[in-house]
Amino acid sequence: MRLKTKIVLLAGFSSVVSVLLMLGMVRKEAAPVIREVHDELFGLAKANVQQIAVDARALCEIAHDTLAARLDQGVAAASKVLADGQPLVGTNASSERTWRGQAFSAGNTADGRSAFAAEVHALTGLDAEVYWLTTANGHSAWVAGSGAPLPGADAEGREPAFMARIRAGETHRDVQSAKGIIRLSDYVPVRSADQTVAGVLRVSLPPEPMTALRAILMGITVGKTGYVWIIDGQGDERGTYVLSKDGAKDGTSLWNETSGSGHYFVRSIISKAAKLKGAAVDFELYDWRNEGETEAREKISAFTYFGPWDWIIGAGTYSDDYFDARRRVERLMARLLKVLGVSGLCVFLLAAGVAMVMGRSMTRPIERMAGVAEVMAGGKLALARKELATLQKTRTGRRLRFRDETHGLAQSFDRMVQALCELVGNVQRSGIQVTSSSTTISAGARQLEAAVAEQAASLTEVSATTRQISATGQELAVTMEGVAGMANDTSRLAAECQLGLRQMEDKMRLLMESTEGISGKLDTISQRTGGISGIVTTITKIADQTNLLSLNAAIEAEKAGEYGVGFSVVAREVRRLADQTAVATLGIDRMVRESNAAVSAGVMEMDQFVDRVRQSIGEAGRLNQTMETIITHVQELGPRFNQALEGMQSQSAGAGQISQALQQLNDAAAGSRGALGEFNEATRHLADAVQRLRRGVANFETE
Amino acid sequence: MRQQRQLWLTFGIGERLFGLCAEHVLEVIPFVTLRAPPAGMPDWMRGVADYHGTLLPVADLSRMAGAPPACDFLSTRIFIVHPPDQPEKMAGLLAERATDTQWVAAKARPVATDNDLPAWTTSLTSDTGIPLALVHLEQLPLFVDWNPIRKGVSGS
Repeated sequence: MRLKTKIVLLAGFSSVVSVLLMLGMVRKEAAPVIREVHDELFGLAKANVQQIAVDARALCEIAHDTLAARLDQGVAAASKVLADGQPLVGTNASSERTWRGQAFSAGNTADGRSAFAAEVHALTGLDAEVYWLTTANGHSAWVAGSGAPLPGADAEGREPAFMARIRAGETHRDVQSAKGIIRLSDYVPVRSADQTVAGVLRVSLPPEPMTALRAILMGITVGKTGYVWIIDGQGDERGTYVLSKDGAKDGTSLWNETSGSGHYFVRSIISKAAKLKGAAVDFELYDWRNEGETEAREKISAFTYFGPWDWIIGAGTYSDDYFDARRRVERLMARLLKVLGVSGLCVFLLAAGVAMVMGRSMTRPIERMAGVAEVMAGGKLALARKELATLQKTRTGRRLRFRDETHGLAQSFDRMVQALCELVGNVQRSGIQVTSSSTTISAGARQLEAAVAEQAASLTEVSATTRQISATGQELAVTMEGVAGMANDTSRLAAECQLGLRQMEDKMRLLMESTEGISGKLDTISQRTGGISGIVTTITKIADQTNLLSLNAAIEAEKAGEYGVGFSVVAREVRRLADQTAVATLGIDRMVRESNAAVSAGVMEMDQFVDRVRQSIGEAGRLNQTMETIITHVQELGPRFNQALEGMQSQSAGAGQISQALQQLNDAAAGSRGALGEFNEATRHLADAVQRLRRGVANFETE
Repeated sequence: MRQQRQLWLTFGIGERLFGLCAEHVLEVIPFVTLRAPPAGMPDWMRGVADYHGTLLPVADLSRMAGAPPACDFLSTRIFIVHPPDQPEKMAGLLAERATDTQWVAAKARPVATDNDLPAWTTSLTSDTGIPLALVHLEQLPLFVDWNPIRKGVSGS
């Protein structure tokens, strides 16, 4: 993904995230707000309906008080009228009908009222009657004059329960409430002259349909479509509409009304109302459908119980009237979300646009740098420098506008490429030098190794030769024998040979003695720590001298003509041995294990050699006697032969030394080979490393 | 037997093996320390040797044959020689690998001459089949120009 794209994405992402966060928070907060609004509205609705219910009840109380006041006036007036008449006397039956009969007779007036009733009606407009109390037929009262029973008596004429209080001298106010019609009546005891309760005065207001009150209550609107309703609370008519919406369903019983869920909410209201004290208010939530409405709506009603009239006065309102506000809040919230979304999109687009422009200006130099870095990675340092130069030019031109880190980056790149160029150049040169050096070292090491191997091979030869040297003593003795034989054959020359033989005998004795001391010398040699090179040099010199002697001996033998033929053979053999010794000393044996054996074998061979020499001495002694005649002829030969013998002696001694030194040399050779192997390995590693280095560096083009 | 074969002292120049007839060699001596050659001598002059009190010019056979000068090896030695029948022209010849001898039949015939060989040699084959370039002492520049050299040596 490109850097610019990343910047744009980052800006877009951050703006989108913030907008989404805001949206989420608003969404999350919207529900509580709406709930709060709902609760508040619900509380408001409840308070409203409660207040209206209380107010309606207050209106009823006022109406009731008005009626009661009017009734009180009527009672006072009737009592006055009654008092103006003759006092009531007797309680006997005969007098019952005549007790102030003229005043209480029915039908005395045109409207059928008694004179008393007519007078009271004229005064107050109220109906007033006096009932005669008897005990006949149980406790019953009869209308005085007419004999009609007291209202409220049962079918058998038994008086209502409150009559007991009347008889006790108390007054009673009776309220009849049925289907919205209120009728108040007062019962006042009438006392006879002896102050006994002889009758009862009943003053009644006319049945009051409470039209004005109903009109007022009907006119109250709760909320938008709510209204005040009244139902009967107790008695037979309970649940019956006293006041319905617009009076449409007045008198209809709601006892069996249910809400959609089968809840008898009217019965619930009635049972709740029965428990209310005074002006207390309770609530009921239910579904209600009015006439002309297609479906039921949720409704909340506050209701209170007005005991005197047995009315349950309620004020109901529909939730949707109040919750319309809630819906508006919800719509506002939805709109807010929409606005937020649109503004978020705008912010995103703006941020993306700005990021694109900024990202372009920010990333372009970096992309250029990346291109340069790519070129550098490809090893084209020269091309990278060129591009950096062009880049620097354009950067310089825009320096005033873009004096930021990328400019510094470009300069650093330039410095880096320069340093890299120098470094790569140095490394390339050094690599070549190191390669050639390592090749040289490797070649040298191989040569050295080959030389060591050659030394090792040569050691074998030396070992063999050492043994051969000893064996050669035997050969030499044999040859001497041959010489003696030849001396016999050339008895004429024996005299010349005699001297040489005698000298040879002496030398052989010396040789024998020396050889006998070899074993002791071998022990001392083993203690020596001197380098093999000196010994080898010595051997080589001895071999050289022996060779030289043999050459000269050969020359002399050649010049001696036929007499020297035999000796020239000897000289040649001596030279051959000397040459082999010289060649052998150029190499080194690796056979360590055989060294000690070789030394002891050398000692044994020396012993044998001594024996042979001893025999040779004996033979030489015998030869000496028989070859006196040829001694003079070989006199010239004698000194040289003696010298050869000396060489042989030294050679034998040297052979012992070689055997001893071989072990030390072999150790050194083995160490050298091991070290050379490691050295070769290290050289190969060096060469590999240098090759890799050169390959790595070869990727860079500095020119 | 004497008439049938001759003893040749061999020496080496480069890869080639050369021979000097033992008959004309007085002695072979080690490569002793030489006195410096007199001024104006040819480059093959290695110096002057004191041979039993006689000053002898020592010439480098390798250099004389056009090869690099003989090195100071143990096998590098000086032949004390004189040309046939000219015992007064005694001189030293310095040569490498002067360690061996070869027998050559007296009737041996020269083989095809190698152009690389010096003019004062004849290519032969030894009895043992080894190619050998025999040196004709009298043809050596040393002995051809003997007098000035002798004089220079004596004068030194």
